[in-house]
Amino acid sequence: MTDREARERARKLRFFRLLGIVFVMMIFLLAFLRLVWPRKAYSAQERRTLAQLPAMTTENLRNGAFSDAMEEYLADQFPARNVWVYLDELRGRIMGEKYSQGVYRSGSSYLIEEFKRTDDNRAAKTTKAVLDYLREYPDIQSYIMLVPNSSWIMNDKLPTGAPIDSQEEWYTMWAQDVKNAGLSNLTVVSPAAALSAEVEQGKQIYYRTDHHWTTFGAYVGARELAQAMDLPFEEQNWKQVVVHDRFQGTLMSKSGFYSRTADTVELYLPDPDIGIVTTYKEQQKTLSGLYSSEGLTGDDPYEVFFGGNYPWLAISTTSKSNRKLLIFKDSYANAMIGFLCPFFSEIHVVDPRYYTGDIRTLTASAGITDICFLYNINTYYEDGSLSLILEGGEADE
Amino acid sequence: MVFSSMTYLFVFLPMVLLAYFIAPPQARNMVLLAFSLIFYAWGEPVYIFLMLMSITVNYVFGRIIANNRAHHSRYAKLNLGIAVGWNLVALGIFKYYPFVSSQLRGIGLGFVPSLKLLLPIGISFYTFQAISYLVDIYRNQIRVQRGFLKFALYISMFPQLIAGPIVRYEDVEKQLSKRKVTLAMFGNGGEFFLRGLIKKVLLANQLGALYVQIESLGVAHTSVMTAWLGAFAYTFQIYFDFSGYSDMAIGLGKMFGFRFPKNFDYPYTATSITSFWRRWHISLSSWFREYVYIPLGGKRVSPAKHVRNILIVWMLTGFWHGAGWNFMLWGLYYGILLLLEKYVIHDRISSHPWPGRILTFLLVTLGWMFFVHTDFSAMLTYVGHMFGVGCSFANATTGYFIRTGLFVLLLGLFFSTPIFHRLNEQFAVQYYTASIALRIVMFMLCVAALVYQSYNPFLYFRF
Repeated sequence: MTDREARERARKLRFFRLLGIVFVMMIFLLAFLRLVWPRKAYSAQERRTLAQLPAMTTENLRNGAFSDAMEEYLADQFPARNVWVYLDELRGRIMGEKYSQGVYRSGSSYLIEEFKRTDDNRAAKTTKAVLDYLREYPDIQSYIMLVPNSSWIMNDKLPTGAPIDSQEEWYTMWAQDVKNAGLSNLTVVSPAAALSAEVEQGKQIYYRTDHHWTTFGAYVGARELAQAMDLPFEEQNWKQVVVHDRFQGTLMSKSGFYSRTADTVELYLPDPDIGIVTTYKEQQKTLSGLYSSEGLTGDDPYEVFFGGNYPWLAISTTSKSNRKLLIFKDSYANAMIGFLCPFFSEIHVVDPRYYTGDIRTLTASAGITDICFLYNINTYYEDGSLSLILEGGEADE
Repeated sequence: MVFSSMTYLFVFLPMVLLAYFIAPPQARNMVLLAFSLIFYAWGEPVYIFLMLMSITVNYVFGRIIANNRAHHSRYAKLNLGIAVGWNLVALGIFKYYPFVSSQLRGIGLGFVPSLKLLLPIGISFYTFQAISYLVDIYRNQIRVQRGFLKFALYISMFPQLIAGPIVRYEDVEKQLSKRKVTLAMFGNGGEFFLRGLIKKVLLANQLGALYVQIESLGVAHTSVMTAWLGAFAYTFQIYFDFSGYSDMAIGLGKMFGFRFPKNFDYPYTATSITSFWRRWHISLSSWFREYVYIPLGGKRVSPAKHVRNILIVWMLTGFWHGAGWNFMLWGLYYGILLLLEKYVIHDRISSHPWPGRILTFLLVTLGWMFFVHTDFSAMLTYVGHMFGVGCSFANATTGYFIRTGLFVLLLGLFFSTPIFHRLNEQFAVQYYTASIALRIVMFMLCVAALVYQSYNPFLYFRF
């Protein structure tokens, strides 16, 4: 062995010895930190309770549930978990990743949820159930408004060529189908053009890191709907109040993509004020107004509207109108209902994802004059609960 | 348990290291065996009984065969037959019965009972180890292991238990009785382990995500180029996934003083299919050569028989990878390619390595698309897209995947060649503090990815 080879060999051995020590130190240091690190019950960032040390039983040991729960517990309670998550996000950003869990990272600060036409039949079934239901009430004026998501209206913000299905294409087909059904009492309200026009004016229609529309977006939607409903919307004044200015939403939690930007949450209050009482029918509680301060201070400030989604809300207002509205809705409607309150004396809000009652009894008993279906396209396309509650009534007859 | 899990890295590994190095040398086999059994039972404890039974049966038959091989060779042969048969029946029931019965029921034999069985982890690997041990004893190539504990450790040793390499007894015989770990050897093991972890967590998982995204594209978005990008992503994914696991196994072996054979030798730089299979999952292909191909007569027979031998070996190789027709097809595909190489192409394109290298890589890539699609219509659709059936050559989505996936694909390409390892070694010798720092950073990135990814299955678990 030459001197040089001997030197190289010595250096190599030194490297491996050092690495051996470093390897053991890394493993044991993290194992030790893990042992002493305080346990957390809840992650605000991920909006979920964190797994706790699972209890060992013969049953869960035998079927392997214990080992799964253990792994979940270790990952959830890992020391400084959020720092590691951030580190991985950074790695992904450097490696050029733009997609995670159904969410695209756009060049600007927006996170955009994908639209995937996985099963057109499911939505067609919903539409058929809606039409069949409305056919039973030819004397009630009805409206359906599907709100486009940011993947349509802010399409130009998506990474170029992102393999996303076109909401516009699906919507055009859907609107044609509804029109072909020929219900004289049904009006389809299409807010896409109005929303796009506002975006072009530089207005913010969607939250940057949340899948909902902003209150301003809901305002534009309400304006379109009010026109179809023939309401004196333009005569109404609104007072804008900022109630939250550090809003980071569901899309950030879902994707793990960090966004430094935060949004403000606004409320538009009728000016002059009107009296509103909201009854949470299945919770047996009645509150004044539409807004929840608990929802606002929780992890999801969008819950300022009603405190979240409830199966059935009955809102009565001091409005002199003799019209009574029934809304089938998802959470997009939560931000919009306030805009309709001055024009109806009663509004019943049904969220089919949680509602279990008989919808026909409700429709008949409440003296409803108007029915409105209000969804964002993603939910309407994916959620089967609307057709379930509408058909459920039929089966009972 | 898998190596790239929180449970393994921060609970199991520190405990086994602590216990092993605190224990007096004569107790160390016991420690390793105990931890191996816990490792195996973790998550699927029922099959620990199958494992213990397999160890006992093979231990007993090994001794019977050894005692009779000199003077009662017929009796030894009979016992070899029984023991090998037992191993194959166990493998057959747990791995293939659900598939076979569903096929039989599918063709109208409704009386065949269907049985839902979870595949015991690693059964394909430890069964093959046991068979090689028995046959080697019968052939008088090794001495029988009289120590039950040592034999149990050979079969169940946790580093290579669930995804290989398939270790032949002669490779570890001496180490089972006497082995020494120096700090440098331990560090070398750490190097292998880290390399494997990086391959699995930072490369394979990202490549896998890219493949899944492309694979799920509807016909409206896909194109020839996109389909090939996806196929390349899977090709690298499976290499880093599997060779990463082997690296981790080899590294852990070194930490405890075992030297396991090399399982991969830069397979994607192979210049022919023959050479690819000398470089891919080496311990499996040499097992089939040693215990199936050569006993059938190898190539020292008539061409017709040789063709038969090749096809048998490759159908079995395919079937070993999973109970499904697509694995059979995948094996047969290689059988045919190897025959073509041997009888038609000969050395015609080997004057320069690059045409062969590129062609081999493309054929291997295509092969993985048979391998990955258990559903035939999905397979036909995907492979169809690769050849332009029903889609355009490229579109805007191709650009999207090039922009978001090219970096990780190029990393994949780079780490599939020996260039990186040469550079890495030189760098480690010359700038060892920087090299150590780099490894700490890479380890932290692995941990970060593990914390982030709650979903982390090993591809090779099915086998």
